[in-house]
Amino acid sequence: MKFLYQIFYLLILAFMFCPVGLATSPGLDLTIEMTDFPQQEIIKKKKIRFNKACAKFGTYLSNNRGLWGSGPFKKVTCKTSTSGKGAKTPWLLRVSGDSSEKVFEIFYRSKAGKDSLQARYSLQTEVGPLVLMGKENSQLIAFYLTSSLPFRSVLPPDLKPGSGQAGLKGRSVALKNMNPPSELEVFSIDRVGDLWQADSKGRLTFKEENGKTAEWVLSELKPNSGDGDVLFVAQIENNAETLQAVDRMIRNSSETFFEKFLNFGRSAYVGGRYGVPLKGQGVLKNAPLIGLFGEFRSGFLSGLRLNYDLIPKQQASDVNGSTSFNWSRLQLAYSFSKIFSGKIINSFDVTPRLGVANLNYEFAPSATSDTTAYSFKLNRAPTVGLEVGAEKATNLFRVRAWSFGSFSVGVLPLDKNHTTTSLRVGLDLYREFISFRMMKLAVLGFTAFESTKIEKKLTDEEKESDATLVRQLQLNSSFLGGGLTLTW
Amino acid sequence: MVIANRLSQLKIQQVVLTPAVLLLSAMSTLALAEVAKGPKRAAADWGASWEAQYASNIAGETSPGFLSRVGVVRKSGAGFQVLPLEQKDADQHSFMTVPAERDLNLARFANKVVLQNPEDKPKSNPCEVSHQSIAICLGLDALLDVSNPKWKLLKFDKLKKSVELLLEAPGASDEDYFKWIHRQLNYDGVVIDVEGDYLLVLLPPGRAGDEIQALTLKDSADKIFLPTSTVKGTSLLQLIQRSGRFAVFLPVITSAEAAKSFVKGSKLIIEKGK
Repeated sequence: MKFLYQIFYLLILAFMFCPVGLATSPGLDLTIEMTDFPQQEIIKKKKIRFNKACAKFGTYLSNNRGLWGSGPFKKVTCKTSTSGKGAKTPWLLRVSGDSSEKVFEIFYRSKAGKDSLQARYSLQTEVGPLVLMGKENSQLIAFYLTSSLPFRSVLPPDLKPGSGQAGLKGRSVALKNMNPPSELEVFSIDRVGDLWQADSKGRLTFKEENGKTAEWVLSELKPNSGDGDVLFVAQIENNAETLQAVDRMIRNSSETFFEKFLNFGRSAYVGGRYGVPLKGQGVLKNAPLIGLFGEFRSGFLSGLRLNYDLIPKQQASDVNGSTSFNWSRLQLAYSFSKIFSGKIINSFDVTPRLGVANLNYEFAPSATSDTTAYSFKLNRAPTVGLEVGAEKATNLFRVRAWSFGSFSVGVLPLDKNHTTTSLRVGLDLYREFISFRMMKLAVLGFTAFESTKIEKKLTDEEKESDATLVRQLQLNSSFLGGGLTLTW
Repeated sequence: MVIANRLSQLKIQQVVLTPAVLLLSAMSTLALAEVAKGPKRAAADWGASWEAQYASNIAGETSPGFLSRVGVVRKSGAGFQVLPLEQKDADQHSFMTVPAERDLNLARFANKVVLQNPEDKPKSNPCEVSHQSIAICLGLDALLDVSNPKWKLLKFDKLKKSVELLLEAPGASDEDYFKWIHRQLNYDGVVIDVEGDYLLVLLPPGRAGDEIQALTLKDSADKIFLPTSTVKGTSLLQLIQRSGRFAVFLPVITSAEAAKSFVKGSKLIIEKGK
């Protein structure tokens, strides 16, 4: 009783002496409710199944229990309401949709009852909502949603300002190909009218990824922050890239094999480019480079890339004779990439490439020349190569530096007469300039240097001959050009 | 915060209370709390905690009688563009804090518009649509709008409603926004708390050295601007302790009118000392 009086007394004092402002703390209780689906589904699957799936999903949204320690909510309640009126918590996660699309939306509900959408994730799938919420990739959906909110987690209360070691730890195992963000923002936040007033307090810096968990430590905190205040955490830098990568992971893991088969062209990337020689010699002096490229980004072919490059037939002649040259290659590639949130690069990729190359280089001497005629021909010669690239994406552009090496000897000895080795380095710059619905058009600028060496294997007869023979041809070329890419 | 600290010092949880005496108790507790402050503490002890307490209380609040956090905006399309500022630039002329690029990014992130229909046209960030929204998102109590040849200085109340303080074109010597603001204010610092004889003061950290004296100004507590003709010194203050924009001063020479200047909100000018 005495204790109750004291609480009452303190409340009266707080009311009397604290100025009444408009700012309110956001509250951390969430209701998950499922609407719009046929009611029979809930009945058929039974409430118990919804509650089970919802409880699992709710876990990943609460108390830093999601991926990378995400999850801001203190208490999560599950409701199978169809009206949405049952929820009394400040936060509401509504799962809705139809047989072909599932939508997850998180609303903040003001004290006046006004809902404002804070996070949204939609997925084109025939997989049921309960299966989605209960499956392993529900961790990824929860992570996508919390990463879209104004704050993705709450700093653990054991924070000791200035200790330099207190921080945030969380599972990262489902975020397989992604590197954790190098920095997380720490701040306090209040709702003022329809807006969030956030006050930066410090930052968490990535420390290490140890096995299945990633850890950030408090590297900076304003004086007097964290003493009893609730401090929130968000990933501000490269947030859009993280969401994009997580979205792709969810889509790939949510499709059935049949869906993957049907959806192979739903999302893709195609482009064309044209380059002029920067420094070519002889017959390559004016040779342009024409290229077409594309990548499947959905379905069972997701990640597969196709490239076709061509130098059309070129002819040149001088006093010694005439030279003709044409070249083309078709390549099939699959990229393995690691996404970073670093300041210098955002992603690193390794791309094995298989292809076929055609090349025709012929030299016909003039009547007065004493040079011997020679030719180098590759006819659908198989090539194997490996490309490594590093990319930096900003709000304005995306730049990618890459290097590629290939050879066609030994591994695929279909063309036994020639050995080719090639080394290329280049820099690509993309700038998106038109965005319409799901379509994005970008302009591409590129520069590349290529050195190709072709070695002819001499026959026994040629070896024994006294004639002057050309055994090796080296072609060096560099290009500068531009192009267009279309993504959907 | 102040009240909570003082209540904890008094160990009120051991007091037996009844609803009938609540109001009386509350008032007497405050009176007791004043007494419980006890003998004057050494400046070194309370300087830092005073500063931290002020920094905690001032965030996002309005400051009667002076401007504490200011942003600079320019008209852009249907809304405004908040100009990125460097605190070190402001520190040369002003005791005010400014929103850095990082604060702006955080405000934009927290208030980004999530579309219910992804095919809808993206909407501009609600933080940058009006003076009021900028003040809310960035926790400002003042805003300098430099859209027009005559710059406009606005002050916001607790409800983030704005009052236009000044409309004046920058002079030829106004190299930057803060030099202009400093010229308009016509003082260097402001008293933000008083304990016994000691004054806690906000000063421009880029200007004030470690050996300075300051002059309190007569009848300045409730004025934002001080016209040159009205500026009159009342007492000379000696610096005791400094930390960033916070300084603790002790009066060394006082006039008969000095006591009126030892209140929150009083303005002062820096006098180069020794």
